[in-house]
Amino acid sequence: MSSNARSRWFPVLGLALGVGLPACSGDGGDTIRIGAALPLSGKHANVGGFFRDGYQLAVEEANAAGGVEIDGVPRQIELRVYDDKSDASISPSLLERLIAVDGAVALLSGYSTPLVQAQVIVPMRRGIPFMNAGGASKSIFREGNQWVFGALSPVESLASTTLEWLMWEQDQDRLPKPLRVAMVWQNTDHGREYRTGVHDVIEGQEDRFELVLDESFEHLSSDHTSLIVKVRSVEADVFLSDAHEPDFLLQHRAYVEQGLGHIAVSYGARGPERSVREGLGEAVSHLVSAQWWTRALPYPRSQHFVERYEAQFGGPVTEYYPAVAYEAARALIAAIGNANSTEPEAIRDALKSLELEDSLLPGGRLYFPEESRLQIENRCVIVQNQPEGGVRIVFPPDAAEGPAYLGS
Amino acid sequence: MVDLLSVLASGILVGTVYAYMAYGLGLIYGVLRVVNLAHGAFLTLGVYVTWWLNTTFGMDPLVSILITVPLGFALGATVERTLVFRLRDSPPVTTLLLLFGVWLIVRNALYLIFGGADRSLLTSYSLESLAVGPLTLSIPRLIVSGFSLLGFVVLALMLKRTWSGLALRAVAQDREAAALSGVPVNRVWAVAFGIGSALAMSAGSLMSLFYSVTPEFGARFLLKSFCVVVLGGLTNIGGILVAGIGLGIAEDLTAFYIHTGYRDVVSFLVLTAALVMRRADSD
Repeated sequence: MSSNARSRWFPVLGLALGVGLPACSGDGGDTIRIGAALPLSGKHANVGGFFRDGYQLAVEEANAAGGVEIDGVPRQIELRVYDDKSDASISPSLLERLIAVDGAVALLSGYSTPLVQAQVIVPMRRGIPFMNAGGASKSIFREGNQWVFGALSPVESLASTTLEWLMWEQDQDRLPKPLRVAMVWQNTDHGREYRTGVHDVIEGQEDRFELVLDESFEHLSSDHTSLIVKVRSVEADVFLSDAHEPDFLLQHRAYVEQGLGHIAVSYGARGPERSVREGLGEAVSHLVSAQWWTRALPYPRSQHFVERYEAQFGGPVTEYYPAVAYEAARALIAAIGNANSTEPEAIRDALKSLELEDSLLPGGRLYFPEESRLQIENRCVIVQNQPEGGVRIVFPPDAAEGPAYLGS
Repeated sequence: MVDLLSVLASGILVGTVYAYMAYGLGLIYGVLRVVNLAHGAFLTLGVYVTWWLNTTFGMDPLVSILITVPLGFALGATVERTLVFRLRDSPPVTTLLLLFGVWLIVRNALYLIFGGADRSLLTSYSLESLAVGPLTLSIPRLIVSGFSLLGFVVLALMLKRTWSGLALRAVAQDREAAALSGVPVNRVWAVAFGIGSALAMSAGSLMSLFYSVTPEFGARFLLKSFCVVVLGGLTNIGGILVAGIGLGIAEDLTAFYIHTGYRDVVSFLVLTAALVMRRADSD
């Protein structure tokens, strides 16, 4: 064969490898393979480890219960995980490999909005169900999306649940009306969506809220003192900020140094992390945060997860990551069982109609609404850091462990 | 008025930090005519060594400087002797890429050893502040500012009053003339790179008092260091101090009176303007 002839065959071979393999290997053997490309090294390595543990726990539980039955035959689930090194340029090719070479019938997401944004292109192009537990931004879920399911509520819900809690406190006559709110947000997708969440609630609630500061700041800013001085100058009752951890640490340090005090202070989801208490100590006491999950949620499934997770991986589990990952994998496995098939379309349709009534997420129920482009819309849970360590749920009322401490 | 004074004070404190982290970059460029892209690596090593000493032995970050300064000098001199020296007659871009490679190696090694999680230090004075009239000044930032001014004085005295300083200035002015006069140029280069790296590592040690520790730490501040060095005069230590303070004040005033989101834009506008003006002067 001449070199020209060989070169003509390469695209055909590529297509055979890329397209043909999923059909022949995904449904073969005794196991059903699902996969994930996770940041197990690089800057998100610690979170990637939480995701792997959560996914693994859900798979182990499903297999211990007999696996998934397809056409009356019990099949074990196999989880295959690759390390994308926290690199968005590597992650999509690993998903391609999971589909084309490993024959994964469905995929679980990595962590962080930028990485997941890079990942979703693959399942959408290949028509493979993709369960996202690691990116909350609405930008991940595009118009007409049919393959990407979100087990993490949008960033807006961090803001909207926080404001719902403030309104609830107003209704208990524990907070004034209108409440003067100072809001700062990092100039990223995350921050912008947080801001949208605040505005969506505040609009039409002028009797309850007065937004006295609404300002962005750059991610990884070298200093926040001038911003904090600005916050002080507007004399707000409540201070809301949406910041990733490095900015949060610097911003709250400036807040404490400048001697500020508000009735309530919240940095979005920041607050309960172990690293935060290590960095700021007692200064994080009474911070209020919105969480996608917390270990104190009273639901049986949540308590079950905490026991199993801590027994297997050590504890206490203070982060939401493994819990949401566990729930995402559990939903995917349940959908495969409901589909009674390993065909992507069947699994996708089963996910669309899935309803987990024993979810560990706030609200206790998990389903993927079409109107929110298949991203769950559960409200968050509001917790408050306690001076002695740990957190207490203060909202919603049906899960609250006690009233919030409110400053003067 | 109190707000204005608070912002000015904050700008000065931040500016002295900028200056401290830029001294080493300016010194190395002045003597070797090398843009040290590994500067970010030495800043990052400084914060990690300090964090590790603190979490392992409970060592205070201020005490850890006694370790990071000699360690930085040894590492810097070694990098110069083993790598930079070999490329001394190569085009500048070669050294630039080499030092960028050093930075990448250090960064990835830190990822491998410590992972990518944000870490931070908490000391008894981490969140303390000092009330001066109506102003509230952060104690850690005051400490770092004190070190920055001390570093400037020591560096200025060393350059003006010691034989080593004379040799450094001679090589900075004219390498060949200095060599003909008997100045051991090769050794001076190693000493300059060592001092520059020691300054960067000690700056990292002090900055760990308020910044979180990650392998990306150096990337966060390298560009700011360049801005300060270009603005202050590439070889002028006094100019670097003034430029750092000026930049800190300009950033904070912009953040407070215009918009916080424009804070970092100031650095890049200043950098661009300084480069354009220098170009115009040289024409």
